[in-house]
Amino acid sequence: MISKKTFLVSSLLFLTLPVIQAQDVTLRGVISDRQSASPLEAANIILQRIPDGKIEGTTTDINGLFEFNRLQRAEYIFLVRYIGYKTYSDTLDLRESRYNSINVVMIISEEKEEVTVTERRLEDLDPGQTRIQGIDLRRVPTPGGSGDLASFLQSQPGVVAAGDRGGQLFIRGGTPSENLVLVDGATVYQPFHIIGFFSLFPEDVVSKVDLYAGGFGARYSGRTSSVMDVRLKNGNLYNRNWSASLSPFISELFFETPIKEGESSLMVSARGSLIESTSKLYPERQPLRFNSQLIKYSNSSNQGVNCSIHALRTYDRGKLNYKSGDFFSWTNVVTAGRCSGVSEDSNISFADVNFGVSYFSNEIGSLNLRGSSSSVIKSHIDLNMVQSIGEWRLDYGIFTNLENVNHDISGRFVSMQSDRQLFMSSGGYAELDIPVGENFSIEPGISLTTYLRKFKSSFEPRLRLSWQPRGKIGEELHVATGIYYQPLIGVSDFRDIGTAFTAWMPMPDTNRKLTSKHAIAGWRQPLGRFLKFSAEGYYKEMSNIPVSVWSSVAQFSTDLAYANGEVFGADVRLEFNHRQFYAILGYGYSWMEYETAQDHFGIWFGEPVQSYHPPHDRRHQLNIQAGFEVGNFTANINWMYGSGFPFTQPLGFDSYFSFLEGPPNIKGEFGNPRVLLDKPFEGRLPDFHRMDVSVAQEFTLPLITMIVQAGAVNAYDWENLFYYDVYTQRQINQLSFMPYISIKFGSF
Amino acid sequence: MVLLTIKKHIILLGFVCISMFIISSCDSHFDPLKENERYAFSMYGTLDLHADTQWVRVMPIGEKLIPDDPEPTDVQVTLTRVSNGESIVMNDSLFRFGGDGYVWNYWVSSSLHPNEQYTVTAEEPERGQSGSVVTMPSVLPVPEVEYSIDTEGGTVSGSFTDSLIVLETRYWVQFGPSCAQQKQIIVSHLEQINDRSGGDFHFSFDNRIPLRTGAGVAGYMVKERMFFMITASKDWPYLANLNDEEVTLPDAVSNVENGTGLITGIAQRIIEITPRQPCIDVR
Repeated sequence: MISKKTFLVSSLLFLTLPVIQAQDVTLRGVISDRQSASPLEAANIILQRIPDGKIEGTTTDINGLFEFNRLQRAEYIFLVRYIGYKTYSDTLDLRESRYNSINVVMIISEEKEEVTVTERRLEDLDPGQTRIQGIDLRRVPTPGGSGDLASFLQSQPGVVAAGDRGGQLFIRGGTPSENLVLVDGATVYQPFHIIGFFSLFPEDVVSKVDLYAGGFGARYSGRTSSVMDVRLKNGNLYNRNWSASLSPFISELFFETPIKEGESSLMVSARGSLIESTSKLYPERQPLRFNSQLIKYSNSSNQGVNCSIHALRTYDRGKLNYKSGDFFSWTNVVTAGRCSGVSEDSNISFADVNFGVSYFSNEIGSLNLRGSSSSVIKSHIDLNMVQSIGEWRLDYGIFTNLENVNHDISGRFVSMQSDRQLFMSSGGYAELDIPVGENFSIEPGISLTTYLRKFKSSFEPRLRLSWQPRGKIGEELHVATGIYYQPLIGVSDFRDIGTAFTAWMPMPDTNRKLTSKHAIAGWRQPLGRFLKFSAEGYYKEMSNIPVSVWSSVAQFSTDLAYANGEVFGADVRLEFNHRQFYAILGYGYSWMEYETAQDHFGIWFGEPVQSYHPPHDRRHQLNIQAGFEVGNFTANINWMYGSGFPFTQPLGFDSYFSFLEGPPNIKGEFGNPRVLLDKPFEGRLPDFHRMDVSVAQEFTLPLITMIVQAGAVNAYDWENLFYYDVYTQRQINQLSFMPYISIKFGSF
Repeated sequence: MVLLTIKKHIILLGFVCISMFIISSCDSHFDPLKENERYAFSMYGTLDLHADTQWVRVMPIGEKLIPDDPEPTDVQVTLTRVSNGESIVMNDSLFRFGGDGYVWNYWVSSSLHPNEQYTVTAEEPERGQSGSVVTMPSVLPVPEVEYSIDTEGGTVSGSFTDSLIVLETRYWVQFGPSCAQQKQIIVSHLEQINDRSGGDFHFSFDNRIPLRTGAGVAGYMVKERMFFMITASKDWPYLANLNDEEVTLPDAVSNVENGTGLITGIAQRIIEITPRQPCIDVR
């Protein structure tokens, strides 16, 4: 009997065999930006056969790759068009070689074009995918000199933030540890800073971000909820640029320079929080501190091979409950490299290899009690290839990860637990894009992962279908489904949602595997010239979710139970862009339920199994963004509404005696403080809403350009509850009205 | 022209802002506590057949984890003998623990009768009533204890008819030169009784090793020696089949109606072997 592993390897070998079609020739290449050598996605490539004038066209993919197959041996006129760039044209003689390649660097056009974001946003999106570019980040008011990915994400339907601190994002029901964040191919475990507006990714360093809220393809594995694939900018290959900014929240520096003109460059970004000091000026002190540094070196060769290495570090520390409570801290250190290139004389069109080491540690502690800590070191290498098989496109690759996970959870009132484990996984994936006719495509995929000694192998099938009923750009119906496994889990005590500590460990019970099954169906529709509409429904079925054991005693428990769950919902987005004005309306509906059986539920509730809405179940989320840019003046507002999170309501409090060691000493002892709890998560916290506003004016000075921005967080000073600590009965609020002025200057 | 465009857009944005403000101008009051109709009072304690004063803890189910700032209580706690309906109102007594924390304990000077049932009820007009029915155990004969201070051991013999829940020697020990270095060491003898549901018993013991271990040093001084024997009626909870989480649940171990807690009937015998000696600070 052929095993699944053998089948996969055989399939890969079979598919990578050269496809022999003697008369046909192939033309492929990479289109990139001259300034940075960054690939340009969705560039239009037009090929006109000279003898008979026949025209063929295609667009570049995320790697800037294009490919024509089955071309006749002839001379061709070759055109590349990309909005904002000069059109590139050339005459190609494809009569000699079977495989031909041309790599084009595009030069930015000097002519002023009125380009709106939607026109530039790429239309070819996968189910569940959101494409984010630097300009998107700038449009969300952020109390710093630059826009930031963290602020932007919170304005997206389907993305739920626990609050304005802690850096915890829940995506379509998935917990933060179920989200995979990749930076140029390397994992970053917690890229969001302790103040929720900021992350490792200011707009200056981001080339593009692909957020897959579910239904992602076989290339991504090891996480069950979402993928955030961040591509960093390359430094400028010809010009030296810099900027610096200052606001009450953060100071930032950005610098890019060519190392060897036209070939290699360096980009450096550093950020540090100021809010701990400057919050003296505001009504409430903010004991929050963070900083992050990022450096990237890129090299581009004329042969279409680009290599880069990057290193980053983040540090966060602070209290989520300002008045008392625990200190949280976390650190990321990543160093990684990537090489990619187009092949000139093989049937493999494009290949990239990623390698690197990611380290993450986090800690929770207080002055009086011993803390808990957890860390992960992950080294990875993966090889990804693209190949055309006739009209089909095959993406496939192999990967190996070695992870050393460690946790030491004192639990404070219960016995200490600690563990250190080495965890190795290897595997491969393959994804086919099969066009059926002009307007329909099928993308089946598989991912196979084997785990050294620990778990059984994972076989994860994926399928995506898309249909453009009328062949119009941007008009698409799509569905996606897949099975996702996560053997390495992050355990957090989310009973009160106000936490930022995650203990990373392999699933303690090796017979269990955190599993999620996704189903997505969506519709994207342009409505005239200025309006775009998209709606996507989703359903996820989850099993073996680690959750905290419920207790009525005021203590932090580290005991684990398991839950199964399901989530369904819909994200709707309406986007208006007209000249300088834009407005975006986003609405997300979500319904989530966990079901868990815990030993004491029979006595507590009379039923051994309990269903409940977990604490991140936000039923409704509404976001309205609007703004304009006229000349050098911009104004943006962002209003967010979220219905209340579930929480467990106390009926009251008492102190109890257990009688375990004899009659109680009521005259000499207070007893054990106890919360008399209602059923878990039956109550709802108040709804959340907040408006952030900003206006900015750019000034061009003799040597530098300066942007002065004024704005306010929580402009109408609404008292938003961050979380309610059921054991200490403390209400912890989010930021109150905080006006700010920021200044950014530099050579941009 | 540009200024006109900016003005137009600002008006539009202003309209959006005002709309958002109107939408959001609703009440944000948050009351985390759920209306509690299940538990009126938390009641803990024991009624001791051989004591002349009975004590129970009665606290209204609170709105704070650690109650502070006590106000005069109007809770009435009554002890009633079920067989004849004779009731006594218990006296309140405020106990403070560690700063602001406080509790109300209630006491009454009264001798109780063996094998009879008593009710302890707590009542407050606005809150309602909670109550517990307590069954008293049989009389516990005073055990015979022969103790040698030299060997910190001896023999015990006696008999009992209800569940034996405590059989132990309690020491008050000074384990350092300072008077602050004192603690209680308890050595249980329950393991030496095979049938704890009743009968005669006799056993010998030697507490030197547990005392040395408990004191943590060789040069300790025993300041007091007491022998405790307690039996309990059928009210006494059987906890062996409950896990740590279950023990803490308000309904898992409770005999209080319309409330939570546990009040049981016990028979306690305390034999003073050597009285408490004053502490000697030898620094």
